[in-house]
This record gives sequence, structure tokens and C-alpha cells, in this order.
Amino acid sequence: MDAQKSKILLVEDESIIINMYRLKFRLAGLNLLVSPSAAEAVKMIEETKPDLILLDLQLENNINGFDILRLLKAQSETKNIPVYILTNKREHGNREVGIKLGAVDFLAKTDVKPEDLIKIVSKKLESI
Amino acid sequence: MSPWVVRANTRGTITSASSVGLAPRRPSLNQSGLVVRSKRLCRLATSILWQVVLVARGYKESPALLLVRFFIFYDILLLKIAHLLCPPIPKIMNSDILYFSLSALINTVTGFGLGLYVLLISFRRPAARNLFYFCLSITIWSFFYFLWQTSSNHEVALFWSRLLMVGAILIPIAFFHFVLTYLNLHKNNFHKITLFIFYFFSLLWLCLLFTPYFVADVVPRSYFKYWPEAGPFFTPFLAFFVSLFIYSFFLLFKNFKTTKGDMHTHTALLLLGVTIGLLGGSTNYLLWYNINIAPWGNVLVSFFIFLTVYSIVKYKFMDLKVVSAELFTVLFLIVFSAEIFFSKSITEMALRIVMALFMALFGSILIRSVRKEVAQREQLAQANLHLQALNKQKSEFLDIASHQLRTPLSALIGLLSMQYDGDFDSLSKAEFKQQQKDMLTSAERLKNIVHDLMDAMEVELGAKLKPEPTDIAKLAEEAINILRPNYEKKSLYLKYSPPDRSLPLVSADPSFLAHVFINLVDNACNYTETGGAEIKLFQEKNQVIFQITDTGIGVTPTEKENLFGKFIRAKRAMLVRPDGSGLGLFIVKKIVEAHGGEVKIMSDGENKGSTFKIYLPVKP
Repeated sequence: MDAQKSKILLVEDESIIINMYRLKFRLAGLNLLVSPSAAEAVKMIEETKPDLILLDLQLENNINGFDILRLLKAQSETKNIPVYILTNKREHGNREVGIKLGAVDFLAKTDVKPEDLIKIVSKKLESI
Repeated sequence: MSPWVVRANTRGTITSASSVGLAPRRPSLNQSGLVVRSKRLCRLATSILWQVVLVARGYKESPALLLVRFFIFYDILLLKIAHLLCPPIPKIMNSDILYFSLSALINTVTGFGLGLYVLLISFRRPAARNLFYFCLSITIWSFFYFLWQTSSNHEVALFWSRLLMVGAILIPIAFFHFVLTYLNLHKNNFHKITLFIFYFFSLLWLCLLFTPYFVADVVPRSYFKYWPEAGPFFTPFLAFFVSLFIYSFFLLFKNFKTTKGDMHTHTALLLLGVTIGLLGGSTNYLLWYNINIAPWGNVLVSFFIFLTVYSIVKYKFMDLKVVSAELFTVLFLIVFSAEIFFSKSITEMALRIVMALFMALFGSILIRSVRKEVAQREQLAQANLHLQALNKQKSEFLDIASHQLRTPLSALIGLLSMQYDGDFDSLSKAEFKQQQKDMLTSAERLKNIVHDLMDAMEVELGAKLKPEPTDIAKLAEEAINILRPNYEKKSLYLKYSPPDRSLPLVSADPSFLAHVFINLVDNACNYTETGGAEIKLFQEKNQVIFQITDTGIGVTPTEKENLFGKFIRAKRAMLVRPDGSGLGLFIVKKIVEAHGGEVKIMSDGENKGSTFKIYLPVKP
């Protein structure tokens, strides 16, 4: 799949992070859709059928990203969409839980620079 | 021959001494009178001495020992009443007969004393009132039982034996009613109907009481000259009696199986009481059917009452260990005290009194040490729970704090790495400026979070306030002066209405309180785009009130619920001020509460401004 033609959904509630990734993905020529809330994310996934999802764990109203991941993997239309967990919640156990629930990888925002994230996402999209 | 001697195996044609031309007379100071009077004197002395000991040792809080005190005290009182109503116990009455009449007296004392005790301490509780009625029915039964036991002729014995059945009829229904209220089943329709039916049957038995259909007659049986003979309706009554108790037992057992904690222990005691009481009291009915077993279990009815009252008395008995220690002590005390009455000489009586007193002393030491041990164990368990809660709180706090710190950090690192990679080279000047602003905001947010985290930790760890008489107006004016330039920069007004008269001093730590005022005035500035803020200071009764009203973004009812929580920020607040930490109001609340005050927020909703009020107690 051509990464330039793919749709990538970022589920993230921090505006400063959203702005940063929006700029980076735009400069990289990738189509980034943003959903700041869990409810909106589920709706957007149904409507737009993204090719890849970047999912934060700590969302507004204390909703956990793992719940969205479970929902996605439970539905036949969405279970094959590759999901990367992109979070600052690096506590012990979160990585294992995420992988077990079907995430492709667990990425810490402080450790993965925007350039590296673009490379990871592009590589995955081209392999699909 | 004494006119009070009753001939065995007669139907009592001689009804009283007066009918044979002999006037009843009080016993002269012969041997039996001397012993009786000595016993009474010793009992009175023991009672007074015991009460002095209890008061001196402050045992008012121990119901078990209080019950013993009542037992001894009321024994004296009722003996006096009994003495007025009936002649002295006949000389030839042997110790076995003495046991049955005394056991009835003990049951009377226990029933009335404990019932009254429960009523006095728990009058408002329906279960306590019903327990009093139950105890009263036992008192009626036992008292007339005593009079019947000490009857001197057939007619009198028949009269008292029929009268005691009033108590016997009321006992099962009163207990059943008590159990229903105790288990909170009395409002249940099914139980309401069953209760009504049982009361109806009880009324039926009462109507038959003075007919030969219930108590046919009194005849000699075993040790007794006058033992009741069952009429045709007695057996159905007995079936009714046993059924009610079995049903009560069943309800209690069901509750025992399904409950935990105090209720479980209380119910266990009740079950034990029912079992002991039923087994003991039922020995009264064997002789009715010519089964030659005397009612030796009669005195166990007192244990039944004691355990029932003990189970409902509301006090902190935390453990079965304490209950067991108290029961053990009271049991031995009752046995030792009862033995005094069976002393054959003054010396033996004195020795038994001394032993009873020693038993009371060592028993009280035992109870105290068991209670202390149980209380310490409970304290440790509470402390452990508290530590676990604190540990959980700490983990949650660290979890949230680390996330909050990493968010601006990851934005800062991300943007700086993009700049380093040359991503910003292709941006317009405006876009580049925006990215720089985002970097600065992230750094500011990081700084604020670190500062506020330190403050929050200081407050949460209970930093020692150094209160001193503080002029609130002065602190508020200082905060206003520091932040006025921020208001002017945003073209917002900042009005201050000083108090009409000088405010009383407040006992406060000025540095912490200054933090509160600066935080609120700063917030009002940050979350207001147009208009401004107004500050008022005034006194209301014993409180000094700091009030700040702004024309800012306001607070919705949903946002209000968690506004003072840690790292809680409304979405709208984050848009207006992205570098906020979400800890400011949390710290404000903690500091105000540490000063014995209160903080409140009022707002008409989104974009309708808000008012924060701080209430601080006036220094006494």
C-alpha cells in the first residue's frame, strides 16, 4: 500500500501533541486524521476506515485506550487494522497488555521522535 | 410443730394457719431466722461493696459487670417484695426445693433487671422494646413460679400455677416478635400475618387459663407437693410453644448463615441463648406428663435472657474473645455468688463472699487485658488499611504525575527534534512562531507542574503549618498588587472592595494562605478574556470570607464535580491556558481545609463567569 494514499488516525486528547504530529505528518506527506476523544474515534473508524491507528492510552474523561483496542479487535470490520499504542504511560505491564490485546507495537512518545514515528508508520503501511 | 409445716400428699384442706386457729407469726430470732437474716445482710453488704468496687474501677462501660451488679441489687429488692407477699420459707423445705424457688427468683431478677436495662439504653429501637416485653413475660412467669413454689396450700398453689402460665403463654410470642424486629422482618407481609395468627392463639390460651382445660389441678409430683396437671388444651399449647421457638430458631439460623461481622456474632449469641434457654426451660414440662425429671434446667433461662440482651446491647464488643472472657467471668461470678446462698455457716458464707470478690477482681483483669489485646489488634488492622490506602493513593498520584510530566516533555523533545531535523526550514514565519510558542508553552507547563507537584506533595504530606494571628486583608492586598500588572496586560479590570470595618485576625500560616490568594486571583486573570474580576473581603458571624468573582469561562455542573481534584482540567480551560498543571485548585482546597476553612465555587455555567469563596474561621 502506498503510504502517501493511506489514512492514519491519531487518537489523542493533548492539543500540543496533536499540533506537533499534524505538522510532522503534513510535512511527510501523510494523511493524518485526528480524534481527540474515544467516542469520536469509534465513529471516525466506522466512517473513514483508516489504514492504521495511533492510539493513546490516557484519553479524556479517564477513558483507557485499551478499551478501544478491545472493541476494535472484537469487530470483524476493524480487527485487521494495525494499531500502534502511542503513549506516555510506560508503566510496567502496559506493553505486555497492549501486545496481548493485538497492538502491533507499544511506542513511548518521549522515546520515539516524530521522524522515527513517520518511518515506522510508512514501513508498516507499505508492508500491508 | 410449726404452723407453716405442710403435710405431704394432702390436697391442702387446711389452707392456712389461721384456719386452724393459729395466727401467723413472724419467725422469732431462732436459728432459721438468724440464718435468713444473716444471708440477707451479707447479700446487701456484698451488693453495696460490689457497687463501690465497680464505681471505683470505672466499670460503667462494661455491660457484663453492670449486669452482675443489677442481678445482685435486684435480688435484694425482689426478695423484700416476695417477703411481703408470702410467708418465710418453711423450715422443712430442703435444699432441692430451695433451688427451684431460688432459680425462679434468679430468673425474675435477671428478666426484670436486664429487660429494664435494655429499655433504658435503647428505648427507640423496636427490637429493644420487644426484647423488654420478652423479658417482662419471663419475669411474670418466674415471679409467679416462685410464689407457686412457696405456696402453702392447694388453692394458693393452683392459683399461682395458673397465673404463671400467663408468662408461659406470652414468652414464645414475645420472643418471636423480638426476633422478627431484630432481623427486620416485621414489615414483611407474610410475617405480619403469621404474627397476627400467633397472637390470636396466645389470646385463646389466655382465655382458657382459669379453666380446668388448661391447668386441670395441682398434684404431688417428685419433690413437689403441688405440681400442675395438664388439661386437654395444654398439649396443643405446648406444641404451639415449641413450634414458635423452633421457627424463631430457624429464622435466626438463616440470618447466622448469611451475615458476617457483628451481626453474625450477635445472631450466634442469640442462637446459643435460644438453645440453652429452651433446653433448660423445657425441663419444666416433663413433670406435667408424669415424667419423673424435675426442672433442674430452670436457672438456664437466666442465661437465655442474659445472652439475648447481650446480643442486642450496642457496644463495641469487637471479638468473640472478649465475649468469651466476659461470659466466662460472669458465669463463674454467678456460680460463686449463688453458692453463698447455700452456705451452711457464717464462716463458709464469708469465705465464699471473699472468693466471689476475688473472682470478680481477676475476672475484670482478664476482661481488661483481652479487650486491650483485641483493641490493639483492631488498631493495627485499621492502621494497615490506612497504609494500604495511602500506598494506593501514592501510586495513583505517581502514575498521573509521571504522565502529566511526560506530556509536555514529549512535545518539547518532539518539536526540538523536528527543528533539529530541519522540518521548520520550510515553514512560514507565522507557522514557525507557532511552533516556538508551543515549545515555550510545553516548557512552561513542565515548570508549573514541577512547582505545583512540589507544593501538592508538601500539602499532602501534611506540611506543618505555622499559624499566627494573620491580617487577611493585608495578604489579599499583597496578592492583588502582585498580579495587577497581568490584568492590565490583558486589559482586564481588577476591583477590590476593602472591608467596611477592620476584620478580626485569623489564625493562619501567612505563606500558605498567600499562595491561595495568588492562585485564585491568577486563575481569574488566566481564564477571563474580557471584563475582569472583583474581590471582596468581609466577615460573617465567626468567619472571614474572601470572595473573587470573574467574567471568565465559567464552570459547568459537570466540571464543578471534579474541579478540586488532582490534575483535573476542563477541556475549555486547557484551550485557554494550555500550560496549567491541573493542581492549583487542589492545592488551594488542601491549604484552606488545613486552616479549618472551606472553599466553594459558584457559576451559572459556560462563559458566565465564576465566583470562588474562601471561608476562614476567626481566631478565637
